[in-house]
Amino acid sequence: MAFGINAYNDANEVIISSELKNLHFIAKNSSPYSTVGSTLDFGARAILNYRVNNCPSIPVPFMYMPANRKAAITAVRQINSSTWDIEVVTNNHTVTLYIFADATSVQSDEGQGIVVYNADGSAAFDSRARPLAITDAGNVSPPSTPRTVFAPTNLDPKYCNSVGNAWHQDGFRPTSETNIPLSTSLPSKPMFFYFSLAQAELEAAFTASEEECDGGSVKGNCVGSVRRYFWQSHYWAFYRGTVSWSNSSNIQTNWVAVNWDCYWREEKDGGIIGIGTGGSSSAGGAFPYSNETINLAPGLIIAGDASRYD
Amino acid sequence: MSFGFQIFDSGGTLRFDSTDVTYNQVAFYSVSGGSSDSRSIPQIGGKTVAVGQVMIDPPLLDRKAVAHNISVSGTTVSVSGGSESVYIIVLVRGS
Repeated sequence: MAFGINAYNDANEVIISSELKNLHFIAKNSSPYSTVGSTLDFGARAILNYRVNNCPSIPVPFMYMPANRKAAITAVRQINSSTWDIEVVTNNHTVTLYIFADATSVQSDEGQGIVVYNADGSAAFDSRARPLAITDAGNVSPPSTPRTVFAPTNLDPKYCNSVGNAWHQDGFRPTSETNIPLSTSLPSKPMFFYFSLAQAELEAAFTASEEECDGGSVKGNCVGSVRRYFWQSHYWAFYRGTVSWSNSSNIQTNWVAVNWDCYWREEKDGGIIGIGTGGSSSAGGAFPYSNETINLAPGLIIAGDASRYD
Repeated sequence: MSFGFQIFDSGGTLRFDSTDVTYNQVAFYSVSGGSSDSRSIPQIGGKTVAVGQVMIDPPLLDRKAVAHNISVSGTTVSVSGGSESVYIIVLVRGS
């Protein structure tokens, strides 16, 4: 380093540098401008959208949620050069977002302080805004599947008649959780940067068949007019990976069901004394857009103390 | 505090000092869906590196979104294999 400034912490780590960029607190937002799909069904779900204004560089959002509540960031959308939308999935609760960005997004009228510039002239550190301090960071993986046991029962095979009912919910409610002990204690009001990459789908098929015979039956064979029916319904749910914290020593990775539905088909054929008279089929319902579980690779999580930015 | 530095806000509240720990941002860039990117970032040499990917406008409920694979080798960060455009944020911690 031939010129510039480096400031070190007690562990001899660089925490301010003219060769790097500090993340600074830009805004706190506890009021989503829209909430979609808020429900307690299937283990609870809400899709929240928050808006960040006056932020010309990419926002790095941290979430504060109460203990034992699930949440994850699922999208960051740029609306215009300084406005962003941040989408958060939760198990039906509202999070508080703490937005951080590099120093070029700092809005301050204060005339005093210290600003560190990079060689390109852009601000790397600005003491007028609160720099991000972290308490822990690492990579975490979601459970390999949303359910510890997946064996739904009592779902109607005909025409998706059970979609969304208690049996559908019982069979598909996410139950898997991976506990991750922490080596560094969380603060009393922790905040987390965690972007949900993991996606999962569970699907179960239920079938039924019937035969109607208008004539007599000889040794189990219809000797008159016969009609055969076959029904199949595929019940499914789609999930996104989330995180929660239970106490100062443990965080969890888990899942939230974000969508659920069912698709079905019906087949009919018939005959008279063994001679086929033709068949027909019909189908309906909604297909899942994917039947895969993907993106289970470890993802970045960073923890900090939200109370520093209240 | 007998050595180090402290930064106070205009109200006199301590906001940052040399006992704090942080990750600093060394790079931020976008990688398009279906494409790959590999770049050398000399500032990450010898430091703890954390790389995050944030999907730009991914679908939530109408199609799958495959994440990019991210690898760090020496001072090179490689990103590939994802179906969605992402922001890549490279953070470092260390001396």
